[in-house]
This record gives sequence, structure tokens and C-alpha cells, in this order.
Amino acid sequence: MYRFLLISLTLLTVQNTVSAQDSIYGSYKNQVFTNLLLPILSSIDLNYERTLGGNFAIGVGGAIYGDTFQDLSFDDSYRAGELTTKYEITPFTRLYFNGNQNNSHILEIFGSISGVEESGRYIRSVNPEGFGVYDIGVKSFTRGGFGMGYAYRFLFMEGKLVAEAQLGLRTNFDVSFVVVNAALVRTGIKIGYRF
Amino acid sequence: MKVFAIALFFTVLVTGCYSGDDYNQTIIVRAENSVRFENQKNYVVGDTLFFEIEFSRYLEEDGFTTLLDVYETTEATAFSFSFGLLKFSDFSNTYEFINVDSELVLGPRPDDSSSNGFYGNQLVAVLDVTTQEQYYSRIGLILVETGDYQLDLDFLSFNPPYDPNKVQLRIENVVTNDTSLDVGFTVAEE
Repeated sequence: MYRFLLISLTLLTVQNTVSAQDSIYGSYKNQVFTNLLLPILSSIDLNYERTLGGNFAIGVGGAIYGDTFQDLSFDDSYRAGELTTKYEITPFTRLYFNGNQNNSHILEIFGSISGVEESGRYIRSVNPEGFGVYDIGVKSFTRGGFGMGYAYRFLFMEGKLVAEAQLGLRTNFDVSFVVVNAALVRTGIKIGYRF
Repeated sequence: MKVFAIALFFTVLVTGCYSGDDYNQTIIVRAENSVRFENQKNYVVGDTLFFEIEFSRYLEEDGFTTLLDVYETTEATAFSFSFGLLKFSDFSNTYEFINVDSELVLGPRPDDSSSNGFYGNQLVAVLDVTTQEQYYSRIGLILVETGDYQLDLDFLSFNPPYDPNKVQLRIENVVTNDTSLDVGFTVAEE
């Protein structure tokens, strides 16, 4: 987390001091990008974005999470078992403050559909004699969520290459006392290609 | 801005179709008419009143068509329970709960009585070792005072020994309308 913030601040500082004025690049409508931090967390993601108008874009991302990613989640401490998010699909919309063809601050709002496994759950099955029996095991289910993020985007190579620093927070709406659960998703340093 | 608002609306709409999952809760099943009480209505001081508890290891669970095997689920060979005793008071003109000395209650006790149950005086219904189909207990209550009494079985439930590593389950006794239990009796001087 601190490493991410340090990198983000460094990139923003470099951007503001070296390139105080954004360039106008060629117009590209599509972008694919991936988060470089996720492989460190034994995870991987891929995103596609389509620009709409001058300041907006919509897209969808998909991520597969490894065990290390769970360290960034705060939503499993109050349940009986342990929650493990296995994958996540995130449709998103973006607002580019400086236009979607320039270096720009970005406000992102995204939905989340995640596949979750919870250990320690009561699982009902039917035994060979035809009677129901509960065991404690792992239960898989899907749940929805909602999140917001801030990012800054840098364009390189006449706008074909993109690098982003993003911070995103997602909740699944579960509440423990008055605290809404949350997880850092879509957070990291991203690189991509525009076409 | 209109495009952004529309995209946001559909993003929320899509994810809103998926609701969260429920958490582990105590499994509750029903045992119908698990109390058998041949009420003689009139007793004298020194008599012992008996009633029996009996229920199957296979019980109904709401939302499922198959009966639940509570023995295989909990591995409990005994389920604990307690009952209450009410005595009519002229002062309050109603039945009042009274504490009963455990010496006056006869019946099988749990091996580890860490809890006294809802009413105190915790007892157990034990799995029949021969058939392994029914849980059974025969309870005696030594009557030492005159008065009008009622057995309080309204909150009768059966619980396995507590073990956080096993499924938490509770069996609730249900008296069906056609077999309402007569729990009132009188104790007179010998």
C-alpha cells in the first residue's frame, strides 16, 4: 500500500514538473491494459476500455486472484469462516477530466461480480440412506459489489502506450457493526495499449 | 455527462442482480409432540410424577424435503434439555415459575453440565443404543409441596453438546393442535 502511494506520488510529481502541459495525441477508441502489481500478489487481470464522447469511457475488467491478494481484503474478519475471492468481473465507467485522448486525472466507478469461496460453512447434502446431513466445508457463491477509484493516466509513444496509477476501493455491502466491508481492487500500476 | 450517467446506471444494475450470501446460523429442526405425559391430574405429597421425552434422529427441516439426520450431523449421542415448573399463587392470581432443587428431579444428566439450560436442571435425551433411531429420556419429579401446578414445556428444545468445530443445531419441540398436552395437576396432602 505504501509502495503504491509512493510510486503514484512520484509519477504525479514527474508528470507535473517535466510535462506541465498535456499533449494532444491521435484519437484511439480502444484500450487494453493490465495491472502490473497483481502478478506480485499471485493474481492477474485484463481490462478493455472503449471511449465514449470526449471525456467518458466504459469498459470491463476481469481478474483472477491468488491467495496473496486476500491480504488486501478487509471483509472476512467477522464471518464464521474465511472468505477467499477467486475471481472478479468489473464493468466500469470512467470520467477523464482532461479528455480521454490526453494525460488525465480519472474518476472511475465500477461494479463488481465476484466469485467467492467461504470455508467453515454449513453444507447440506443427502446421505446414501436418503437423509439430509450437514457438514462444515467450503461454499462457493457469487456476490455483487460496487466501488470507486481515482487514477492518473500517462500516454506514451504518440498515445499508443498507456501507464496508469490507480487506487480503487470496492464494497460488497456487507456491514459489520457500522463498518462496511471493503477491499482494494483495481488498484496498482497499469500498462496498456491503445488502438 | 448523460452518457456517463447511463453507463453508471447499467453498471449498478448489473451488479445489483447478485445478492450477498447468508452466514452460518444455528440449524433449527422440529420434533413434533416429543413429550409423553400420562397426567394423573391428582397427586399427593411424596408422589413422583413421570413424563417421557422421545424424538427421532430424523427430523423435518423447513425448506427441505428430506428429513435431517441429527445424529450424523452432530454426532451427539445425547441432547440436553430442561423444563420448568409453575405453581399457582393466590397472591398474584396466576401461575408463577418456581425453582426446583435438582435432588427432586430424576433422569439422565449430561456428562458435562456447563450450562443449566433455559429452566435449570439440565437433563438429556439419549440415543437408543440398540436401534440408534430414537432419542429417549424418562424424567421424574418428586412432589414435595401441595398446590396447583403446571409443567412448563413452552420453550422445550434439545441441544447437542457445544463444540465450535461442529455444526450448531437446535431441536425445537412442537405440539400439534390435535395432540395438545395437558400439563396441569394438583398436589394434595397425603
